[in-house]
Parts: sequence; C-alpha cells; structure tokens
Amino acid sequence: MRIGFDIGGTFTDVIVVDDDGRLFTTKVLSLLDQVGEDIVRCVHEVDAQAQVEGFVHGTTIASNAVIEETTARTGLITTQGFRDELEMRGQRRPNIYDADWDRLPPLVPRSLRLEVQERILGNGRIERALNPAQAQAVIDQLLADGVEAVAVCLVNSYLNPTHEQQLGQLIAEVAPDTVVCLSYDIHPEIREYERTSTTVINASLIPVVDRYLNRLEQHLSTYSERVLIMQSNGGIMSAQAARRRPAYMIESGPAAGVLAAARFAQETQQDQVLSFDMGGTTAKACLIENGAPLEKPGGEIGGGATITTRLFGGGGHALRVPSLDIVEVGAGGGSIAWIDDGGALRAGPQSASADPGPACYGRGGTEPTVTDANVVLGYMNPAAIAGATLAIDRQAAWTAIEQKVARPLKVEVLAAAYGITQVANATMMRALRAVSTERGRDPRDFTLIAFGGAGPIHAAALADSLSMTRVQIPLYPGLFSALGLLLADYRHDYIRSVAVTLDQLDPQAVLRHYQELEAQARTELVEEGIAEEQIRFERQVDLKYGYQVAELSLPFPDVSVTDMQDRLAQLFTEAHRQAFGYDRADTIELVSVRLQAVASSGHLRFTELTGAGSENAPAPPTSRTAYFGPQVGECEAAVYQRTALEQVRSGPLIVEEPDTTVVVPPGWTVQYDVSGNLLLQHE
Amino acid sequence: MAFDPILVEVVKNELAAITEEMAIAVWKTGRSPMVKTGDFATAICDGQGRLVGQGYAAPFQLAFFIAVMPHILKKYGEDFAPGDVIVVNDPYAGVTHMPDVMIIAPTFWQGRRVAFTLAYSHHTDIGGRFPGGFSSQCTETFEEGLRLPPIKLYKGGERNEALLETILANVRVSDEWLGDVEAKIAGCWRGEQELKRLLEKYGLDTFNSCCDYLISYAEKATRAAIKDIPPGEYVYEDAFEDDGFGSDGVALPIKVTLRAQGETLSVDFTGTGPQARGAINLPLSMTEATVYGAVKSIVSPEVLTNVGFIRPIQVIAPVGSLVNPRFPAAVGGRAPLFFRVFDMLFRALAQALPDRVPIPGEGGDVLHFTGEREDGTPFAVMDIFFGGWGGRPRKDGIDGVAPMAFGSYGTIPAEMLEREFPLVVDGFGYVPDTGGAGKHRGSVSIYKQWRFLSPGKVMVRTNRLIRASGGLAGGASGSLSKNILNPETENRELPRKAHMHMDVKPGDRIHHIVSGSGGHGNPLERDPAQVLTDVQDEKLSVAQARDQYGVVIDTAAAAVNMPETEALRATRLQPVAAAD
Repeated sequence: MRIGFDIGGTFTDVIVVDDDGRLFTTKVLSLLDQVGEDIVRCVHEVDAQAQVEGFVHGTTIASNAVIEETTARTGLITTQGFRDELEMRGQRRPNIYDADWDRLPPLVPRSLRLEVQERILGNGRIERALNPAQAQAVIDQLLADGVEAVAVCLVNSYLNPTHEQQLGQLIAEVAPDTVVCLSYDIHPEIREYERTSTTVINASLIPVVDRYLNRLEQHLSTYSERVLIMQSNGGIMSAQAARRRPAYMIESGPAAGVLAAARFAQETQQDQVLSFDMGGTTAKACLIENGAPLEKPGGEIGGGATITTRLFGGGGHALRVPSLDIVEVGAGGGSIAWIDDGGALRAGPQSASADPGPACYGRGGTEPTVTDANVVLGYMNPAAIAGATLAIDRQAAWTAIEQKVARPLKVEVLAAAYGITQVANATMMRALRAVSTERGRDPRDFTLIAFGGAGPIHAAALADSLSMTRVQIPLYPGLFSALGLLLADYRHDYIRSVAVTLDQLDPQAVLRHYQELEAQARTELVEEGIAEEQIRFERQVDLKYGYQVAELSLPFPDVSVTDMQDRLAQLFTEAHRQAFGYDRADTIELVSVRLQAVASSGHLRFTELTGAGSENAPAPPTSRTAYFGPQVGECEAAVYQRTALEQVRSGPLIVEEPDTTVVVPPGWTVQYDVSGNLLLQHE
Repeated sequence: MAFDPILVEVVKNELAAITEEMAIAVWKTGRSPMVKTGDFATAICDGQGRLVGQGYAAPFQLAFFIAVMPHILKKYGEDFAPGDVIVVNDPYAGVTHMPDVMIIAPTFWQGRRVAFTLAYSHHTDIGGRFPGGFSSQCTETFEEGLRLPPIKLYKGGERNEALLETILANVRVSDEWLGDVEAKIAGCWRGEQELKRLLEKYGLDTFNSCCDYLISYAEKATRAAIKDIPPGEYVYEDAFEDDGFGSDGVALPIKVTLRAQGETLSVDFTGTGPQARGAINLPLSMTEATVYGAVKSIVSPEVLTNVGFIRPIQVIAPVGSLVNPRFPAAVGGRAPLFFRVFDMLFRALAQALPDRVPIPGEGGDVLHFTGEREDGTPFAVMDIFFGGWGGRPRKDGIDGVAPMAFGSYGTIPAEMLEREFPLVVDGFGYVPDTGGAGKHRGSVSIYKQWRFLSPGKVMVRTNRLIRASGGLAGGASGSLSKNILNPETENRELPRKAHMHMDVKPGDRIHHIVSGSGGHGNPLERDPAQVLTDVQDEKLSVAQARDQYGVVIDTAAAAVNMPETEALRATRLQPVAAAD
C-alpha cells in the first residue's frame, strides 16, 4: 500500500492505493500540528492491518515559512564588503513604473549579516587567506545572537570552496548542532547574489523542515518509516534529503498537481494543455506541451513574484533550483471577500484557511469567502461536502455575504455572491494568461485540465472568459495533486562549476566530474532505498561564449575523450545558431556540468485507475436552484453523479463528487468518457 | 473588423511577449557589460512605423524608438527589402548619444513590409577622444566618436563589409562592438520570426486593426489619467552645477513649467539657459524621453507603452538651450542632466499631486575603465550602480535599488566583472548616516570600491557632487557623492566633476560614494520604532538619531527611550513650527 498526501491551505488530500491497485481517497482539514495523526487515522480506517510501503508527501511548509517570514533565525557570513548584496538583490526591482513598490525584507537582517576577511579572485586563486581569529569572532557573535542556522557564501567560492569549508569546520567545532549551509554545496554557480540567496533560503529552512518532518515521521512510523517528499522539479526525494535540501521543496504542492496533469495529458495524447489547480488559498496554472510541463532553472519566491518576470526579476528572494514553471495567484475557495477603500469589491489574497475556514464550515468563521459565495449561488451542496464528511451551513454563508458585502454595496445577496466569484475569476485569469497569451500561446488552442478542490467549480466560467472551448475534469479532481505524488519519479539534480574555456578543457576532468556526481547520486538514491540498477542518469552541460551572461543547457554527448572539445564546440555552435540565428568564432566556455538522476517509483497509470473509479450504480439525479448571473438569473440545475453522464447533457447542471463539485453553466455540455473523465465543451 | 476584446488582449500580450522574447535574445547573447546591466531595449513598430509594442525598457527608453522612426522613414521611404538591417547612432536623428547604437530591421510577410523590429543598446565604446563616448569634456559632436546616420549595414541579407570594417577600425574594442551588434540583430531576427507566426495566425488586417485599437486605447487611457492632475500651472526651477568641464561656480538655469489642461499636459522648458560648452546638453529626443518617462511613472503607470501614450503630452524646448542644443553641440555626457530634469519633473508634479509623488531617487553613477590585458587584448568595462529611492508621501524610500528613472537596470555581479576584467570589487554596500532625514527617510548612500589589476584609463561619472538631493514637504537633503583615491594610503578626494578622467596603475583603488536621497516630511514626525530599526540595521548612528530625528536610543536596552524622545522632540517642534 502506498499513500500520498498533499497539504493545501485549507484541506489535506489523502490518496491510498492498495496492493491491488484500488484507490481510497479522503480529505482532512490542514491542521499542521496534527497532520501525522490525521493521516494515520485515515490509513487505519482503510485497513488497520495495512502493510504500508511508504508515504509520499506534498507540502507547502517550506514556501509558507519563506512567505510568512517564519524561517529560522539565520546568520549570513560573507566576504568583507559584501554583506548588503542579499538585501540589494542586484539593485533591481520587478515593475519599472510602480512608485509604490515595497521591497521584501531580506531573510537575514543586516545585524546578522557579518563579513570575514578573506579573498578569492575571479580565477579561483586565493589572494588573501581566511583570517581565522576574525572568523572565529564573527562566528561567536552570530552564536551569541542566537542563530539556529548559518549560511556561508563567499565571493568566487563557486571556483574554490576552501574558505567556505574552513568556516564550516570552525562552526562545527564550536557549535556542532548549529545548521551550516555552504553555498558551494547547495548551488556552486557564478553570481554572488543568487548563490547567497539560495544558500540563505536553504539554511533558514533546514530547522523548520526538520522539526516538521520529525513530528510527522513520529506519527507515520506506526505504518512506515519511509516518507518521501515532492520537489519543485516534479520529482520526489527522501525525507532525509529534504532535511538537507529544503530549498528544493519550495513548490512541492503545486508541482504534484502539474505532474499529474502532464501524465494525464501524455496518457490521453493531448499536446496542448493548460493545468489549472484551485485550492483553498491560491490558484496555479502551468503550460504543458507534448506531455511536458515547462521548466525553469530557477526563479524567485515571495514578493508577488509568482507572476514570473522572465528577464531579470527583483521582486522576491532569488532561488536557483530547477523547478516547474508554475504561475500562482492569491485566489482560492478560502479567499476572503472585502470592500477596499475605494468601495470596490475584492477577493483575496487573505484566506480564511482551514481554521476558522469559510463561514459555511460552521467553525466560527464570519468573513465571507469564495466558497461561501459558491454555496449561496447553489453551486455547492447546501448541506454537506467532502463526501458528506463536512457539514455546510448555508445560512452562515448567506449571513456573512449579506453583512460584509451585500449591505455595504447595497446589492442583493445573490448579486453580491456572484460578484465575489467574478472578482476571484478575474484574478485567476491572470494566472492562465501568464502561461498562455503572455507566452505567445492562444488559449483557444488548448484544453483546460481543471482540478483542486475548487477548480471544477470555476473552470467553465474561466474557460468562457478566455474563449476556450474544452475543459477536462479528470477522475478524483479534488485529490489530483495527491495522485500526482504517487505518479512521480525520484529525481535529484546536481550541478558542479567547471568554468574553463574549451581550448583549456581537460576531457578526463569533465568525465571525472560526471562520475563523481553519479557516485554521489548513486549513494544518495541507494540510501533512499532505490535499487542501483533502476537509476538512470541524464548528463547535461552548460556552455556559453566566454563573455555571455547566460548559458545554454545541452544534453552531454556520448563522446570519446579525444573529440570531446570539437564535439562540444559543434553542439554549442549549432544550438546557438538555432536559438539566436547566428554563431561566432569566439571562445566557448564550459560553465557547469549538470546531472539529473532519476529512478522510477511506481507503476500507476490513469487508465488503470478507471476500474477503481467505477463504484456502485449512480444515484438518480436530483436538482437544486442555482444562480448564473444577471442575464440567466436563477434556474433549476440538475445534480448528477459523474457515472450517470454517459450521454451528452447540456448545462446548467451540477456534478457532485466526493471531493469536489463540477459546475456546467448554461451554454456548456458535459459527458463522461471511457476513462472516467468529464469533458465539458462549449456549445 | 468587429471588435473582439479577447483577440485584442491576445495580440497586446503577444506583442509584449515578442518584445520580451527579443530582449531575452539580446541579453543572453550580448557581449558587453552594458547589455548585462540592462542598458538596452527592444521594440516593435507597425508598418507605419508607429511604436506598438515595447517589452523590457526603462521609462525614458520608451521614447527612443518613437523619436528615431520618422528619420528612418524619411530617408528610406519605401526603399526596404527583406534582409535589410539599418544601423544608426546619430543624436541628431533621434538617438540620444552616440554610444547608443540602434538596429532596425523591416519585417516582410507575403511580399509586403508589415512591421519593423528594433533594438538598441549602449556600447562600451564608439571611438572618439575619450573611451566610452559619454564624457562631457567635448565641445562638438565630431570629437565624441563615430556618428552613424541611418545606414544599411545589411542590404537584402548581404553585409556591407566596407562599412563594418570602417566602423571597427574606429572603435577601441572592435570585437565586443560587433558582438553587441550581432546580439541586437539576433533580437530583431527573433522578433521577425515571432511576428510572422502572429501574422500567419491572424492575418495582416486583423494585426493592423488591433494596432490601431491599442494605440487609440493608450491615448484614451492617458487622457483619462491626465485629468486627475488638477488643472493649473506648476513651475520648478533648479540649476545644474557642471558645464561639462566641472568649472568652478557654474550654475546653469533650468526651468520647467507644467500646464495641466484637462486631458492634455504641456511641459515647457522656456526659461532654461543656453546650451552648455561641454557635452552635458540633452538632445531634443532625450528631453522628450525624459518627459514621457517621468509623466508615465506618475500619471499613467498602467497604460500600455505605445505611441498613443505620448499624444496628449506636448514638449516645448527652446532651440539652442540646454534641452534642445543646435548641431553640432556635443551631447555624449547628457545623463547627469537627464537625471536632474527627471527629478525636477517629479518635484513639479508633486506640487499638483502631493499625495502621490515621491522623490525619484539617486544613482546611475558609472565607472568606465579601458586598457589592455596582460596578453595585449584591449578591454573596456562599464560598471553602473545605484543609490536608491527618495522619501515617498506614505513610505520610506528604498536603499540600494535602481531609482525610478532606471526601469529594470541592475548591477553586474562582482563575480562576473572579476571573471572577465582586470579589476577586483573590494566592497559594495550601505553608508550610514547619509539618507535624507524625513518622516519617510530617503535612501542611504551606497559605496563601491574597485581595485585595478592592470594600468588603464578611468572615467568616473558622478551625480550630486555639489548640489544635494533636496527633501520634500519638510524633509532634509541626502548627503553628497564623493570619490576617494586609495583610501587606505593617499586618501585623496578626487575632483568634483560629473565626468572625471584619470589614469590608474595596478593596485590603485577608487572608493566611490553615491549620494543619499532626500527625505519626505518632517523628520520629527518619524515613528521612533522606524528610527530604532535604522539604528539596529546600522544605517543610522545613535548620535544622528538624536540630532536629525530627536529620537533617544537606549543602546543597552536596544530600545527607544520614549520619555526623553518626547521631551527632546517637544523642544524642537517649536522652532520648526515657527519657521513655517
């Protein structure tokens, strides 16, 4: 039995796959203090005697800590003269005309950013040895200031880690329990700000993630010691690896959903797909072409930088970690509706999260949320959701919207509720635009794959606004991200700085780098319980003309030592011509070698889930009143179960599922296809 | 075409995405440090030569493309063919100084010329008397380097080798010069490919009507935004302290009069002094760019960047003045006056919109260093860096960030400078007690210290060496800029010239300090908790907390001593209030 669980802002989704491939799904509220207990309880309910092979976990613990500034108290040690670079962020800003911009505070305040006397030059040569006495004084000062973690990033250390390693030693001697993170270990790549920021994020997260995983493992160990964590790159790693490299799990939750959508697109042979994942707090979108999600070598976290500034950034904390290129906006089911100073209706980014949650959950929430609007409009069941496990108090939702929105705006409650969904939809459109029109893709050519607890409620309305005509709701839409956890492969990314021109290249040394990285990967993956023969390696090489600021990452060719230089030069020249239309007789530099180590974890396929999905005969349809805006008004919408939709039916209708609700507005049809998915089409 | 809001939105975003795609190509393949910094921009003009899409750019750069296109169309009319590439850097043909070299390529589709793709970037050299071509110590444009009127570098895909050979023989770093030009051509080529994809999909008529719509939409939105300015006349006067040669006691008058008249705005420089002897003058295209950039930053930041935006704005710049010099006046060192005029426009707008307008901030200082490496190859490096933002009506300025005139400029990582050039960055960071005091503090000074590893020629461009960035609404001025040679040995202050030239030898160090920015509002009204944070961040000393802000810090307790603070502030508030 394998178990995937994905913690969102409001709900934690749980998927259990037993050894016969049968699926059991459930949702629990995201109460971080008791997630371990809740998961154990879920497993117990399925099979108290279960033999659990392992847990796969998607979590927002790392990104939340950075965004909410609850990372560990961390010190930063830099080369003399460089302590302010973390705060200045290359002196850039994200929006050239925004005079109201606030810079995100750095994760380490200036008083905890200290400098050591040492210098390594741009060729890697040590010009000034580390002054050990002064370094010791700096370390003592940070420890006296009560730091839990120390990030070390020295200028030009990507070429020579000697001084960083010496500092690591010095700290370990006096404070063996203090977390130390060296920039050479986490991200040995040129550009001191980006490297420093990545190192700081990693160091400041280690204590947070460690505490979280300790608590979690303590509970889960009832069933299995094996806990795997989803990474931003769409691969999984062991909890042990996550404790060392928490920077790799920043987009853990969102990545799982995108991975599931990509697998779904592959299996259903759809080349042009936008994934749309709406949960309790945020909505996320990703472009998936030919079954592969767009990836990026790094990006930023925080500062509203989730709408990616592709060229320079400057809004958030730089994070150079390979990840899926996901755009996220602050609108979800739990987003609170409010009236701003100018009297305009807004939704989010504040969320009622799990506790107290939307007013309709009856847990003491009084602020009106998007979910409350969906209940009032009749889209969501007015009595209970989540497979009848969560009671709904429609009157509470009605009252919250009436008092906080309808009365101040002097409109009817239904109109206010409809307005809330419209405002939330406008925000979510930004995410969908950012991955389509803003990348030069016409959304009309794409199919929207909608999932997440709230995604299928809003999907058709959003598609309408973008003139998209096809929406697919896969099986288990509310638990789709959790399903993605069980589809993911193990993946580790490694990078090593080389920084030599091709004419100076020592081919043996390059092969040695790969062999060493492969040995490191093998050790880590075997420790994670992977059989050695299952590990696949993909070698990549970063090349550029010597003076260029950015490199091209290319697959490393299968070459002999003698023709490596020529072959790399030829490959790069061709790639440069392909990408930019020209090439030059210029010195080419091998910047870094990269290694991707991948191992398959599972065997799950969507098509195999079909059987598990078809349960009892569908209950006969019912109906309820729903409101579809001023033009359509209130009308009676039939309420079906998914399996009852074997024939094409026209909206307005509502499909109720244990984990979500699908809204088919007037003008749309819906049909259940052979593999159990719903296809919504515009008439 | 029936108006299709979705299609217009798609085309609008496609144009922005394409220009951004072009910018990425230039940035990734560019050869010089200026491209890495961000001193470049890319754009698309439609078949009529109207700017319709501009992705990455600084506010002032948006007007460069608007200014240059009429010169191109006037010279070439319909004489364009597929594969043509035009190069131009003439400040009297729309470019604003000669190191900025612009590339313009026509896009053909189905045998018709349907658009232009454009890219400019600042080159580290353009020949002439001084390396870099942006010194102010020239008196006419012939001294400043190689002036290129609009000429075809490629004709029908065929490169003009004689022209190229001539150019490369006249610049100090020929390889780098060509590398940047190739990067811009790559950007234009990329834009052309993407435009053709767009046209294949939607057809020319749809493309053209979307352009019409987007231009008139930008104009309408700008008119609506200008209406927010209370009608009236807003005058701001300042003086510029450098005639290009750093002569003593110079004060060149600059006057700007803003006239807000409902939906239109006129910006009148009448009363500004005659053109200066040295190359600090703003060519007309630069004056216009400054106005458009400043107005857009405050009045209509959300409006699309296309030619429609400038229509409601009129610029009046007397011929022969500092802001519209006569040919062949030198203009290479126009940047310091540009920063000053940008600052003045903000201060004039602040009279009309006191709750909205910040002090735009300081920086844009530059080290230019040329010489030969040990192996005899020539190098030229420009390192640009910034102070930060001045105080704002509702919040502090920001320390150590590109000021508002500078868009998405940034600094080059020290590691990239040190990898490629014979210099070492000894340090780069904040200088305490330098930010203009105010209820909302202006940015502190930034220092940068370089150590040179080989002999060479240095030029340092410095703003605010003599006249500080003033405060607004009762705020105080920021500190002045400064350059010090070898602080650990000679410790000599270098001459206070906007463009200061010197020769350096290996081991020499220059310690540069970018000025602080003015503060906004009365410093005695600043929240003592913010003062304490500044002290804890070592951006403000305990002594200055007391002197400038009237805040008494109890260092032992790391807290504000409120009773003493209130008592001290009470004694100070009196005379300040009386002076009002």
